[in-house]
Amino acid sequence: MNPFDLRGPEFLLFYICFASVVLLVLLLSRNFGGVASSAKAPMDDPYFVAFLRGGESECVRVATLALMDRGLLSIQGSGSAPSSLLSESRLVASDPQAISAVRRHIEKEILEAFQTASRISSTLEALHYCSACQDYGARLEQLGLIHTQRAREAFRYRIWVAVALLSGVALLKILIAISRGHSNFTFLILLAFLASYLATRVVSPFRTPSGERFLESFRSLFDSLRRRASMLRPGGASTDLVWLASIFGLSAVPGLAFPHASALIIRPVPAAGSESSGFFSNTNSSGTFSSCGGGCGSGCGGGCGGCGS
Amino acid sequence: MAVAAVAVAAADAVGAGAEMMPASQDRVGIGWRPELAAGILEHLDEINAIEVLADDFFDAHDREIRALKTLASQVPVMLHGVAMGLAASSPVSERFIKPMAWLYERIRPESWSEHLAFVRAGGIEIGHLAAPPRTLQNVECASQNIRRAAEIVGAKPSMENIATLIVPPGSELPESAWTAAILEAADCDLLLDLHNVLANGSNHSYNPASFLNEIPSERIRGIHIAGGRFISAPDGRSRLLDDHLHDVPDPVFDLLQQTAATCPNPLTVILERDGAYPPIPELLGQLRRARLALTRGRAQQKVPLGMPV
Repeated sequence: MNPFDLRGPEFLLFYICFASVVLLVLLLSRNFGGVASSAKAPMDDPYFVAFLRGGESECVRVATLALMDRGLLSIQGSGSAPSSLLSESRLVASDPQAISAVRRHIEKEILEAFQTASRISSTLEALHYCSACQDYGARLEQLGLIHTQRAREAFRYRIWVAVALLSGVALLKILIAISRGHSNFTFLILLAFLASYLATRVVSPFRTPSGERFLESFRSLFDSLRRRASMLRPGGASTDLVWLASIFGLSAVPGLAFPHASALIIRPVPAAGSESSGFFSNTNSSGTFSSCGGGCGSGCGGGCGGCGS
Repeated sequence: MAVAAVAVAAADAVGAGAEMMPASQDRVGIGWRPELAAGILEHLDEINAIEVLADDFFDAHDREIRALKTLASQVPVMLHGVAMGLAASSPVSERFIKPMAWLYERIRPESWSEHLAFVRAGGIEIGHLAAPPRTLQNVECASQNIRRAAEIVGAKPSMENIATLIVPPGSELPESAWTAAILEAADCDLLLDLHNVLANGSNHSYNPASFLNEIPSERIRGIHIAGGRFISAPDGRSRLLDDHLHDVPDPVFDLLQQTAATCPNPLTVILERDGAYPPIPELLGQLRRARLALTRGRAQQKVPLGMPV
């Protein structure tokens, strides 16, 4: 049976089924292209985990929070500004000598960036391209924990194939209908637009299934830390704060004890223009928009800073 | 003798300058506690092994099991059980052994261990580790329990000596002979808890060093170190309580050195801490002391490590 010979309502039913299958395949293919690796992923670096959870943006913010908590960075001129304005404040390194004392590369790069007082939001954004972030990204890709650029491009290609299929089938039916003297194909045009739109809204996940499992392991191992987060005290006496923020996001950090954390949380961008709230965007179990990490540096980091919980 | 003296001096030098150098194949590690997770993971370069309380995972969700497996893929993990009561004077039901078999199968740890204790009698759960009467009949029953547990789990356990505030009523054998007899009859290894040895020696007026000389050193594979405190008993005497809430006292390190000097096997030393957690550097300091004690003990050893005795 040739589906193009189906009458109007029957063809619309066929088209709905066809579009559903195409969208389903597209959704399921989101995790294709991950690189399997037998190498051990490091469990001793909280910033590695922060990157895995939320990309460059989260990695840089968590490291900055750690440095602020240890007193190596201080906010200038925040006064009694409401927390929503703190991100427009300036940060400055308290001790220029601290760069040589800190252990991790990313901490050195952040301290270097704040050697002179600099605006928090813009400086942190510039730090997304720091070499430490690039190293984390490359390592995570090598280990098969996040999708490679190539895999993400391949996924975009699949989106266009899906759109071509959905609109091609509709167009062919319309041409056949016209050739047979019919003109009542408005519903088909609407359906084709809707299906194509939904296809473009399917977001490639940032993490691979292995990456999801790895992050989930941390969430499980640190579940008790999350429960006793309100008992954490500032001062950098332990690394609990860093792990808490790395694994569960800055929003999990108790605001009363760590008021400066709010300066680092990216306020959600209003829904209009947001790329990460699509119908098919991937929201994982913790509520973190996975898409935000994948596109960090390209504007979609907005809204993922504080949604780790 | 001169060679040994030089070796001890070398060990001192190691201790003074580079405590982190491993003592041959010996390892030091720590008991996994959620409160210590951040500190443990950040210092995996100084922690060679992790002991996990198996009972905490008997009812665990899949994600918790996966998290434990992730941990076990990074660092050698040993399972430690507390509720089997294998040294009971009656057969232990399979239902108390099967959860360990289930967990062992999933995690595939390096080894598992239990206590030379009973935890229930007459169908009543005691709620803590109790020392059974040290009799030949108990030796027979305990060894049968251990053999059956080994069969069900699929691997022989290491059995840990426990601390007891009183000499078990009805005992016929000294603790060392009773312990040695069970290990021999069950053909299993000893997880030697040195603070328990110290506590029992202190509470029952015998020399802990003598106890170490009386047990089969070739069966020692693992060691627990911990701290405790003195409490007043109703008879006015003080008793050393093994509460795992205090730092490891000096005599335990002395006993560790003595054990390392006589034991022909590579040893894994686990620091147990169950509360009143100090900052992680303090715990790492105790691990360094343990490593130093191992190094010094090995330097005194007459038979090279790993050679048959």
